[in-house]
Amino acid sequence: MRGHFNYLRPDCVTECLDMLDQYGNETAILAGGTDVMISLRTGVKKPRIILDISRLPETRQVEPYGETVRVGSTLTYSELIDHPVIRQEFPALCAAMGCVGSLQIRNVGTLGGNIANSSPAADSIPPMMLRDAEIIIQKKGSSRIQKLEKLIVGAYSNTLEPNELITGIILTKIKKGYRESYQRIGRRKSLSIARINAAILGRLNDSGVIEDARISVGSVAPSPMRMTNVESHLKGRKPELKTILEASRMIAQEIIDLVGVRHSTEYKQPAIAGLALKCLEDVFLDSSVN
Amino acid sequence: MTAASIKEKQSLIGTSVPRIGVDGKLNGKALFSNDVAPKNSLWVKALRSELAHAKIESIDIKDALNTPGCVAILTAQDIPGNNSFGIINKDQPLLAGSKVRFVGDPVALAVAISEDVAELALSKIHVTYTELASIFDPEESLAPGSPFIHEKGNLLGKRLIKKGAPELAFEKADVIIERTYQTTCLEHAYLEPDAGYAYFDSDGKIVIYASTQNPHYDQADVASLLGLEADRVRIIQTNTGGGFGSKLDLNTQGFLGLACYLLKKPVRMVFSREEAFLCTSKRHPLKIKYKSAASKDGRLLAIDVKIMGDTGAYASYGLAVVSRSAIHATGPYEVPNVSIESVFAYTNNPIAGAMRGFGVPQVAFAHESQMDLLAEALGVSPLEIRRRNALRLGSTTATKQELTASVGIQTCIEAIAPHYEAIRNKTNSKDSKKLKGVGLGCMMYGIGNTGTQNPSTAQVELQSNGGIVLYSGAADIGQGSSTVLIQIVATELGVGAEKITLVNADTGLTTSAGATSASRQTYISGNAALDAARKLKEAILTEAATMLKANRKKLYMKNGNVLDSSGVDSSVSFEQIANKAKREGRPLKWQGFFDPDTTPLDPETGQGKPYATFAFAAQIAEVEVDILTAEVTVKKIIAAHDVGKAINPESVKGQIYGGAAMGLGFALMEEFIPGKTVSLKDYHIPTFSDMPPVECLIIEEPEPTGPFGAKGVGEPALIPTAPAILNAIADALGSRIYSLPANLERVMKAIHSGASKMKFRLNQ
Ligand SMILES: Cc1cc2nc3c(=O)[nH]c(=O)nc-3n(C[C@H](O)[C@H](O)[C@H](O)COP(=O)(O)OP(=O)(O)OC[C@H]3O[C@@H](n4cnc5c(N)ncnc54)[C@H](O)[C@@H]3O)c2cc1C
Repeated sequence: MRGHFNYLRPDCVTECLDMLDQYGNETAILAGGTDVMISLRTGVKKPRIILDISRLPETRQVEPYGETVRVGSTLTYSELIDHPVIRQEFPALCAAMGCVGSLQIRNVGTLGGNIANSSPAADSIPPMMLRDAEIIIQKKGSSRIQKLEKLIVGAYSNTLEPNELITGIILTKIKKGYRESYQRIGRRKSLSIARINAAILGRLNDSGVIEDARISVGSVAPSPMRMTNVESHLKGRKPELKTILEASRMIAQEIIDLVGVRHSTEYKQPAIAGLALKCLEDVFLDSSVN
Repeated sequence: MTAASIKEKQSLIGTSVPRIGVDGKLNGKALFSNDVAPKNSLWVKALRSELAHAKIESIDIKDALNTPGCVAILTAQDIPGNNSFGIINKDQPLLAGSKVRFVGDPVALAVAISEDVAELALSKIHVTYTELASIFDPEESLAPGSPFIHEKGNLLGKRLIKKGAPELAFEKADVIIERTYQTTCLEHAYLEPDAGYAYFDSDGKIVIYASTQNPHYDQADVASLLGLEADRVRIIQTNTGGGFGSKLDLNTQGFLGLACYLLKKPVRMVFSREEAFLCTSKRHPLKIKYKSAASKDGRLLAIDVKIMGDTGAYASYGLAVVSRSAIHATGPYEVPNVSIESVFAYTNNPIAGAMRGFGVPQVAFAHESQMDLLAEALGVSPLEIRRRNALRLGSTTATKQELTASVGIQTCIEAIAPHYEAIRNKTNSKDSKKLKGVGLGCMMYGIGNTGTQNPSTAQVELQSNGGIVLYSGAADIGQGSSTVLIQIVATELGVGAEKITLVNADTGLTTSAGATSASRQTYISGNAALDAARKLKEAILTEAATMLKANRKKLYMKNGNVLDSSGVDSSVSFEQIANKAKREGRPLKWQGFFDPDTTPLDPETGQGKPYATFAFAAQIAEVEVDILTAEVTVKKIIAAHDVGKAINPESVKGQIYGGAAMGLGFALMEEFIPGKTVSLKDYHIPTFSDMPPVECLIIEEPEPTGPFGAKGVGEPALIPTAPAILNAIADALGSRIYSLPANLERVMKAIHSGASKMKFRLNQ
């Protein structure tokens, strides 16, 4: 049955935070609504108030700041993909955002919503993890900044309080010589949640040795995970096919060891390795270096 | 100019007249049942069983009735007529009386002032059940000692087909291939969930507007449920957002009729997507054991096929699928020795009914895989083995029906052959992690219902203003039958399409055209409309001959006038003719009729003539398999379809494009898991981005009994696609998938079991 609720649309962040302070516990924040509308329909959420944050000017900007870029939380995927700074600085994030749902979903869905929804399969999270993403969270009278990895604590679960609002995301710009890649597997070519997704960022030094490698894999555990063991394994090695194959297999093995062998392992193990291989090849083997 | 050449020039046959109503569909202005239901209608909602098999001990409706705004709660006891319906077997209660047989079986209706109140009232109905043992597997269902789902037992039906001496042929064969194939339950996933509304008209008739494929059948069954004469119920089809077979059933019509009849008030009903998923019919999952024998020279000698089907809780169109899957098990090939057994059982799964192809897409997956396996074993190409065995003029089918005309399968194969060779010869890409493959799929499809009368009727009337009205019971559900019927009548009468007013799919104004199913409306209702138009034409020409004092044989029709071709400059308009005939009391409304020439099948041997004509097709699918992730991309589909005559080529292509999309879904992603699949969130159908370019090659081997040579294409469009894709995957990987869909997991398994072609392995 359709629920009944009041609809509020604040005009600025201050007003929004006031409203959250007052009604936070009985409120569902609505940005693009692509997750919220579904939970309203299925009855998972029965809020008394819908708080529409889609038109808060302070959350709708892309601001480069030194080595970082501050990205407003309610910008839509389409807006971000079309933004020159985002395209320039965050190719893997752009690729990931381009995979979300369909054009209709990307025209309304927001980055802030993807983070706050905290799905294990969220497309934007693995590439943001590799760019030291920090989330700007505000509530009435105060604000805090939390690392993305720390914010998300499990499947659909995070540290946000009912009176808090994500206003922005701070991401580190791409540094010289770095390359990155985003790959995902879906059950069809659009409108499918990632079955597995992965982002890899890395750099070779002048002698062609891997100097930095960062790997994040989604949809395999309750939340997207960094593969720090494999990252250190790769550092200091030459990116030969053998090494990269080995790293791909290690990534898969480490994940299977963590989540245990299940019915899906027969598919997932080779597919994780395959996906990781694609990313690693993209980052380290492609000849055209930045 | 001769009369014949003038007629030729004016013909609309073979021209892509824009689809009737297409603008409304494109600009969103077309109205559907739920858009036009009267505002004061009461809302009807069904309470559905959450148990798969249970005895109903009691239904307590007191609390529900006390819900403010709830007008009535209806149960089986309130049904005045015969509480069982079904198109072939009347085995389905409108509201469950003594027991429920699947999750979704309706138990009670709430009628209320709003949808919300109706839902609230439903939540207050208390049903006491005693759970019964449930069965979800057809083989188990037929095993001795299984609990009965229906009083008559769990066997829905059986079809046997025997031809020649298969045992002997298997002994003599050079190659024998034996495999088991499995397909799954599928959801139709039409755009518009079921909807309708009903009210009493001033004559005391119940008028039901519904999203339906089958108005005249609806009328008969609703009347029987209500214990009324058929003419007390009028069904009018509204714009229908797709059906694919499921809207042949009574999904909302019975409930609407019951509530309207008992409450004497307008009522409306619309299914949510979840409800449509839960309770409307599905495609039959089939298990097909297929054994084929061939000689060294690549000729089929024999097949032995055993089909086990799960028809779910009620029959719906199940029996049609029992027979059709058996008859089509040979595919479009001449097989001298045949043994086919098709057995379907009831289970406590969702109802399986009609879905585009009635079992043929499932068996085509099996026979086309077998053809490729035989080709491989014999060392001939997949194309060649099909060429050698494809039906031709004079061939006999499994039921010993001799094919005497319009056998286009060889032509279809030849049409795709150069494309097939070209794709084969393309150098495989350097990227050894993406393997390319190409596959073929061929099919035949009998047009119309199987071995039974399935006539259509139509009337064509000349009005006093010279306009023409065509009356047809045929429901156009988006496939374009209305446009085709108009083209046929307009061409016969030498007028433009705009001169024809169509009145269709309204039991109050039209006579039965039978169901919009079995790809039959162009062929059967097209013929009925043509018959009516011919009779009217005769009448018009006779009138004109008298009025013009001319030789009737020299007269021809053009733009609503009758003219004399003998050089005399004289003409008379349809309007003048109509007025004269009317004054003098001669009829201007003529009835047409057509029933295809079929015979019932022998119950023991399956021999007979189940269909008057067959459509044929051959398709190619080109695929790329990513061996790292097991993702399959279909790069191209080339589809050659023998449609007899494409009355409206763009409509034919539309059917092929849509069919290819449905076939791609069947091949790669669609799977309805009873108890698990809820909505489009977990039932994936192909999106625009999954679809490759589809190239249509329209083949026209005219059918002498068809209207202007036409047959049908609605279901044939879908049938070859999945087999072609599966054969292409096998070609790419060197290993084969026997269960549909070929999802990520199954493809990954095939990658790791495939050997020959694999140039790159991750675990090398
Ligand atoms: C058809 C479909 C396909 C989809 N496909 C994908 C896909 O491929 N990949 C993918 O990752 N996701 C997908 N999604 C999920 C969804 O689109 C994304 O998660 C999207 O980013 C959510 O953003 P939104 O603005 O619509 O969030 P909303 O639905 O408005 O909100 C989502 C959640 O976050 C909270 N929230 C939103 N903004 C804030 C904020 N600024 N501060 C605090 N809390 C906030 C809301 O209260 C809610 O709990 C799909 C959804 C649909 C319906």
